[in-house]
Amino acid sequence: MKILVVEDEPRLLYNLSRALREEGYVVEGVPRGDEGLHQAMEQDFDAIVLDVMLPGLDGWEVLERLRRKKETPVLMLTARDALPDRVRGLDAGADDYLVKPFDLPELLARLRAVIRRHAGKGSSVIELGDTVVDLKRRQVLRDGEGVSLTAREYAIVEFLAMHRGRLVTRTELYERVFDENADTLSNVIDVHVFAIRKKLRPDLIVTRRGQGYCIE
Amino acid sequence: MKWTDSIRGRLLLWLGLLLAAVLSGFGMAAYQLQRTQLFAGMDEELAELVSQLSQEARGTPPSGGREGREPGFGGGGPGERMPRDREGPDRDGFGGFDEPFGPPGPPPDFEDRSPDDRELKISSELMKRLGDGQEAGFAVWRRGGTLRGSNLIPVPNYPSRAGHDTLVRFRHRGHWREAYHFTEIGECVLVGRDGSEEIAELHRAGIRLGLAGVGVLAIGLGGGWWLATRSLQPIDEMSRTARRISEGRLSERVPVGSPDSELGRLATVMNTTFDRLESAFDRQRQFTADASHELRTPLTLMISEAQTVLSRDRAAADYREAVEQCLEAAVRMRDLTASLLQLARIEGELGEASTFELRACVRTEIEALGPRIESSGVRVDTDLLEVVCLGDAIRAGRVVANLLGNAVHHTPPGGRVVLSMERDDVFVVLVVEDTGSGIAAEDLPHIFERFYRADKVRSRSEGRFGLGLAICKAAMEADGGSIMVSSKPGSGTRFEVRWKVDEAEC
Repeated sequence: MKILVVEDEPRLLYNLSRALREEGYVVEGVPRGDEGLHQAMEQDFDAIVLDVMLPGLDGWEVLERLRRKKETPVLMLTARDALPDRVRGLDAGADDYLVKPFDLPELLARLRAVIRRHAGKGSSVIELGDTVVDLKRRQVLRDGEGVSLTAREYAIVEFLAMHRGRLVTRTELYERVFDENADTLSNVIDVHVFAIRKKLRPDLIVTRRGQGYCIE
Repeated sequence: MKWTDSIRGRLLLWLGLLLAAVLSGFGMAAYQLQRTQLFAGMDEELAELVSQLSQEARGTPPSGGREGREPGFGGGGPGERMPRDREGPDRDGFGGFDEPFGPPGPPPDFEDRSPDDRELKISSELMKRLGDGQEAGFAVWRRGGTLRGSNLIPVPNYPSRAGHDTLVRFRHRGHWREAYHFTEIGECVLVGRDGSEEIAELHRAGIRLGLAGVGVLAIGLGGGWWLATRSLQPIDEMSRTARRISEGRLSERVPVGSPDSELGRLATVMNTTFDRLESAFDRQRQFTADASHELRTPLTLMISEAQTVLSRDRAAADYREAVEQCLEAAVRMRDLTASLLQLARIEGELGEASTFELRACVRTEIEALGPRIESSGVRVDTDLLEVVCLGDAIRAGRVVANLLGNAVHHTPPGGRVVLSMERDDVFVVLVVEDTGSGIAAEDLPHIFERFYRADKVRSRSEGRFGLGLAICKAAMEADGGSIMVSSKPGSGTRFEVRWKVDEAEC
């Protein structure tokens, strides 16, 4: 899962990025609105955390321009909690809204919800036959038993489960799950997928030769 | 609310009283006029009758006219007869004139022959006009008051003689109007007429007048009500609008109507007040929003810092860093609240009548900023005068410190800040000039606004809140001075601060 954080307060940007990374997200952080918009247009993110008061371009403007092209879910952060601001944010296409000072756990929960809703999953649990992905607890269960996966293995399963039925390319996985360059570590994903198949069941992840992976 | 408490009620009450007074005045005058006219006609008729009767009562034969009418002319009987002859046929009914009085005599004899025994003879024509005693009649008294003849029952009182003239006088007796006069020989001749009909007519006229008056009063009050309602309507509208505004809908305005009318002027004044009120409210709201935003940023930082670091076990260095960050944010909040408090205090303050010496004040502030100036690598030059100014020393110190601090902050190392003074009889100007980065033209009009920062990201991370110049401006306004700025981006900024010179010092 890859998140873009646009926040002009450097220390807050640092803290948010660190907290999100620790939650297993791949994080891109920028301090300016125009840079944020550029990043959001160039890359595919699973969600964007967007501050309203930004230099360069303010949050509203970024959101408005982004929505002309993309449907990436956006969580707005603002120091103003006046009702018109909230209404404006939601009307402009924000998926959720948080007022500063916010609680970090709440931000994380809302972010998960935003991503889930965007993937068309209403609940925080994705069932894949006998295998269940618990997005909230970041855990995979098989026949009700917890299966111990590494953070990267879980991230791959989560991403594929979120985009169930769709072909996910290796590049996509590298960028959005590992935050790493696809060229340098070309066989790392194969290793992880092999491990996952061994821990869960062999036919959970289907390999499409030369294209990528898919959970049917 | 009693109806007399409302302006409309009181207006109507006064209008009613005034109308009633005017109408009753007019009514009474009209009534009096009518009455006078009515009696004037009657009196004229009675006067004519009384004079004719007195002529005839004098018993003057046709020749007697000499005695009665033109006593001064003396004889000339035959000459006089001629016109009387013409009246002859009428008099026949009465058998002509009383002959014994025929011989003419001089007027003095006339009184001696006071004809007590004379019979009263009245021509039938006059008799007809005098009436039969029912609705009109006459009475003649001899000198002294004995009745000589009358067809009136009862006989009216003998009139009292006021003077010794022979003027015709009038009097009322019940419904009767009577005219009387005393002849030269002391007889009293009275002619009366029943005036009941005239009086009734007068009463009717009075009732008509009264009804008309009541009608006019009603119309006047109705019109007054309408006028009052109409002219008070804008006031009602104003009070409704003012109430809505006081309930918080500050953008509403009183309808002005025609701006030159009294209410239009009032409405304009009220609207001006509401404009000021609204902009003051807006400023306050904006300030509160900005202040809370500024306070929320470090708060957000502290909370996220603490929550991140506490979310799992970490190394001691991580905790230390988090605590340091929290401390930094807390210090920022402390500085901000201090600045806010300072601003709020200065804005609420009124310039007290105190004085301070500007040069000493500037020197103190330069000294206080010494370490910062040294570390910045900026040279600070001064060219100062000793001047006692009107104002508060602490406020002036803040202004100098803020301007000097800004100048040093925005001037790159190796640059120069100059503080100089100019004065005339009224003002002293402190000029703070730097060779720094300058202020962009689009920022220049806003720099005295609270929380305005030309470069938000950089200033916020440097702990600058954009309150310094707002504090300067508020301080100068409190002391009756002024502050001005001019700047060339890239080459420097010049602030001019103006205080009033203490006149006692001159």
